[in-house]
Amino acid sequence: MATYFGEVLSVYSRAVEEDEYDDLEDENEEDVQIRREIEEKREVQVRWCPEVSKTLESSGQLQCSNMIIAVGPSAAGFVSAYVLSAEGWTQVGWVSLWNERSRGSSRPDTVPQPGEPSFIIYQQNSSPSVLICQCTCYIAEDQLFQCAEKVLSSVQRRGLNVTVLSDSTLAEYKTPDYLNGSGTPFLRALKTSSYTGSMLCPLLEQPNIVTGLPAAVLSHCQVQRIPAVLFQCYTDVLHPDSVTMETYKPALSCLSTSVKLEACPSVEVLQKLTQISDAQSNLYT
Amino acid sequence: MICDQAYASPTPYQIYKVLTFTDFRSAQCVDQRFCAVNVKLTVLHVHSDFLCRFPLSLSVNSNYSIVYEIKLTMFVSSEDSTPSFKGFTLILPAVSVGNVGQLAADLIISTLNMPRVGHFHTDCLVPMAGNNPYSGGGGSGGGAEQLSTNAEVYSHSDLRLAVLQIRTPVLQTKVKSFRKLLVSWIKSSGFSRTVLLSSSHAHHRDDQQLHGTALRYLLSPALQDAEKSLKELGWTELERVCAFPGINDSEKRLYIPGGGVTKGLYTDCCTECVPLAVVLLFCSEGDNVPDTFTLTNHLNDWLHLLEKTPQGSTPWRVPSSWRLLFGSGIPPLLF
Repeated sequence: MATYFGEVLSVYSRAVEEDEYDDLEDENEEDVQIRREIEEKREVQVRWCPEVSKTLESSGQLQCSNMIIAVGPSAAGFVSAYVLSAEGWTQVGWVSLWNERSRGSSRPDTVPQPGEPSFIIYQQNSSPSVLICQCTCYIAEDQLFQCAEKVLSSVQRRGLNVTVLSDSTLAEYKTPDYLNGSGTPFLRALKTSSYTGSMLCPLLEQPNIVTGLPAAVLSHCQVQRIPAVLFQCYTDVLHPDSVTMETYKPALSCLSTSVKLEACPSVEVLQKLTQISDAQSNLYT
Repeated sequence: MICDQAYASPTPYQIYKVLTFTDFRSAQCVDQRFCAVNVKLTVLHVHSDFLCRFPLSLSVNSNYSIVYEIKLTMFVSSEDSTPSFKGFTLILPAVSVGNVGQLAADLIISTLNMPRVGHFHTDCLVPMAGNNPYSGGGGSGGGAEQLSTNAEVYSHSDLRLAVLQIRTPVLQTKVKSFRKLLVSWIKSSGFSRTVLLSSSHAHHRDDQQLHGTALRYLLSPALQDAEKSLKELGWTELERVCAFPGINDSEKRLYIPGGGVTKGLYTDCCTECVPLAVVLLFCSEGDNVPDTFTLTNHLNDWLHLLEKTPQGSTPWRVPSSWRLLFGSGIPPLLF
């Protein structure tokens, strides 16, 4: 498209891709085969440790009263520092997936190494019906639905309550008054129709929305009528930091009977979690 | 006895692991609301884009023949029973340039105060969640805290109107599946006619199209009897373009750049004898709110959803989610 000053700008649409989908109509056998292989490669798998696999084989689904899903570095850091360190939790499963940004491990059957981006499921030792999922890996758009579906299908729907903790940047938060960062980080909540708990923070105001795995989980819970609540933390720091992690504390307060929180995690634990953001090297150091 | 791993929780359309079974009773896991069974049949190679009600018979290694019905659907009712859409008019938007169709659907739902009757639960769309976009000033049945997902169905029984609002893009690899699922749902719900609101890149217009109105329509053969009323309103049909410009002028084809699934869905509806009308606007990306009013007023001339005021304007109500379309408030220190 030529503009008034003579330069040519490429016109693109926010909503649709430029090319038409006509070429998909003329696919031959080989294309179909390749497409199917890619689809299989991108399939999301939930893997369990042997004990849980046995339970699943006999009863089909795990008994779960509370499932907490932490998505994002600060949410996952909060879970590591405040929850997993407070009392006994066992790693019982993980989600293996492959996409361009999350290559996964070379063998999908191997447990992810600590520190590498992953989606890990922990079970509380004292109360096996409480599960925590920590997601730090990138899940592609086409895998979000499948991931939420497969994780939530492995637990029984009856009696299930889901809590989702998710990070977001302040830049994504739309408000008529400019936020100068004094109130950050802060929490906003979204809940499904069947959630009857009290609200610990304001609901997410229109026109703000939630995308990604938290949205997929919440949509699944809404449709399946599972009581679920999402706490989205808006922060102005890009990397996991201890202040943001602390902001999540009230989110789990209503679960205090089932999930014990570490009141003040040690400095070493917090330092280890926030150290990932150190710059490797730059031109000036 | 189930010989292989299976998912016990039913999903409306997705078909998962392979099941080889010897016991008919254990093979069935039907949820009354979804009416779906999640099985992948090795013998028949059913893929996730297979749909519509059909009986299947499968004979397994133990010579056990099993016949059961699978109904795959994306629609999940908000209530315990499925609402009836028989004889209703369905309005749905195509995710297209300027998002005009989706904005128009927003305007219709907001103005007519349509309550939500169900969700479209599908892996073909990018997931999204937020609070009720139509709350504040009447709301649409639900309060401000009603969770909204990426695709929902709203209904107005007096007007015999249903609107499917789609809020996120269709995934590239799932476009065909999505179209098929839509056609299947439209047919099984018994809509008397479907109106697809869409848009197309304005810069692709030819010299003729640059003159006059930017609005166009298309009718599938099953809805041809509406042509008379549209021609009386002075509507213009979308022109076909040359398939091989400059070489062979006789062969024409449909060309809707920036229209998303419009062309594909129209073609599918023609083949499946679904009464479909496409109402399309040529526009570009930018502030598309005026384009939305153009399209909605144009549609209203035909469907008479809303009465005009004595001054001649139509009292559309802008939903609360249209605030801050171009970002948050500006920092005062900037000035």
